[in-house]
Amino acid sequence: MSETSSDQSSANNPVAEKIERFIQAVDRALIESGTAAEERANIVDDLRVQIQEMLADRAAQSGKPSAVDDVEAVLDELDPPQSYAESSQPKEAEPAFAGHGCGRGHRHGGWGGFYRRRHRGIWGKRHVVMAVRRAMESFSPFGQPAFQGMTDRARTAISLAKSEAQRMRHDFIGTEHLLLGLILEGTGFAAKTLVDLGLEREWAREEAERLVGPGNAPPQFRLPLTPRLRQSIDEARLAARNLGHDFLGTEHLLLGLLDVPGVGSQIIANRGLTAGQIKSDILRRISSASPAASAPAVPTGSFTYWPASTIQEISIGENRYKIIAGSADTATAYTAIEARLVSPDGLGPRINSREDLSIYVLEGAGRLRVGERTVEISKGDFSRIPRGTVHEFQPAAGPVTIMLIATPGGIEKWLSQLAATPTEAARRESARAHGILFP
Amino acid sequence: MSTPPTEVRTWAAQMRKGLIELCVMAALRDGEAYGYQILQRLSRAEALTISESAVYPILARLAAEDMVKVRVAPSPAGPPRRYYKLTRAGDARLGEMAQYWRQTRKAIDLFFDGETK
Repeated sequence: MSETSSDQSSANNPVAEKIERFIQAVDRALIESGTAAEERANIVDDLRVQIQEMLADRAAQSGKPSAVDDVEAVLDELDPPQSYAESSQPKEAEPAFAGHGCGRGHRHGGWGGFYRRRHRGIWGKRHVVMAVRRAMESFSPFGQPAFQGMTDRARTAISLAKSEAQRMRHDFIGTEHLLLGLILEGTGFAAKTLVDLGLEREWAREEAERLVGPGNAPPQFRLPLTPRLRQSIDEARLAARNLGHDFLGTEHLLLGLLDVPGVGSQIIANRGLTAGQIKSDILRRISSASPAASAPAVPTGSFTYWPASTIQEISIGENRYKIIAGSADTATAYTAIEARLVSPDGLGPRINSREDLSIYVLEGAGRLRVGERTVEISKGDFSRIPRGTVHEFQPAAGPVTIMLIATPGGIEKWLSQLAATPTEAARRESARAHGILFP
Repeated sequence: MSTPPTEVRTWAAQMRKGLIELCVMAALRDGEAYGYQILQRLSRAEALTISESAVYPILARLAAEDMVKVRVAPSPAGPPRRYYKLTRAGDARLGEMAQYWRQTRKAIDLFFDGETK
């Protein structure tokens, strides 16, 4: 993409090739952060000058022409390419209730340029760069952790993403390729949503090529995933989890793409589509497809057992909810949730218009207000809140763990949606849809 | 769960972003300079750990906003250097930013250290 005026052909000049690779990675990070083409060209030009002058300084000191070693030492001194993505676009604040339950460090991106820079002495850039490279190389389509639990359609989309990358002669699979793969797959929720909303294959291909430009990589069997793509697959997993799904489908992959700033989401935005539009379309498709399909997984007349490890956990703010049994597990009879409520969040005043709630305190203490009455409840206490009653719960000091039985079942669907909903307005909307009212 | 250090880091990163822009512009007050040279001028402000991945994007943006003018000139080593110079508008903006910074700093110092200082 960036045409070098350098007359050395980088193909057989390892020094130039190393520099060019680094420059390309920086360019790539800038593309991902949505930097305009002209600014990108200026940035990499400034960086080229710096690299050459640092090399010239070294050569002047050692009295020898620059070798690969020198380039490595110089590049090692520089900020890793990914930091360009961070510096030019502020990383959006983590949505406060997006699945803290996931509990894995990688959600935070793990590339924190600032932190690393502050600790330059301890965290050699080279180590970081090498670790990142190794991590990238270890992720190749299929049979890898990133691809576990994928539906056939999702796998097809990933395969198509890879062939799109090859077609464009790129030596990586990025979010733009996944977006194309999802469209090309043609039958999944993602494809239907995207095509219905007007993101056609040819247009998306052209836009991807316009944004990224063609590559010049020879066809390769293994292509690494870009960090953004891995991040978006992580987000997809989280979205699936929050929806209570134990598989990874094209709908989740698309939701994941929307949550990560990258070329994929850039293409969507350039089509004039907002993430909100796409999310609501997908969620509508999922919910209209699932009630019919969700015949109780476990018929109520039979013995039921599931181990603790399979119980899904949702985080909303600091509160954690373990969905012990959902309406699908109980033929909609009830939902059982172990809730760990933390002050000051607690449960604000609300009315459940569709279900009665039974609360049994497992640990801790707090103040429960139901209608006009307020009671202090603590470990071992039980209370029942009939539907349609205003209630509110505040943990006394530390966290309170309660067993919550809602009859009939279904409230867990609201919690899942809540966990995936970033804005206050959308939260109110989804609450209304589930019969929860805030007085 | 977000730990305090993460929040502090996020906060500090956001604060730095604006300050680095101020520093980049201030570095150009002493006359035109090319990217790497600006970086070297800025290395004096060590506490801000200003590095190229922050500076070059800011320069590119300032150029797009006509706050700086770019002059391309050959360099003894490698590709041509791009010299940046504050435009009149850039100079005016720097003035306003610098004034705002001084007021802010004074207010915050007062707040933390009391009026005896």
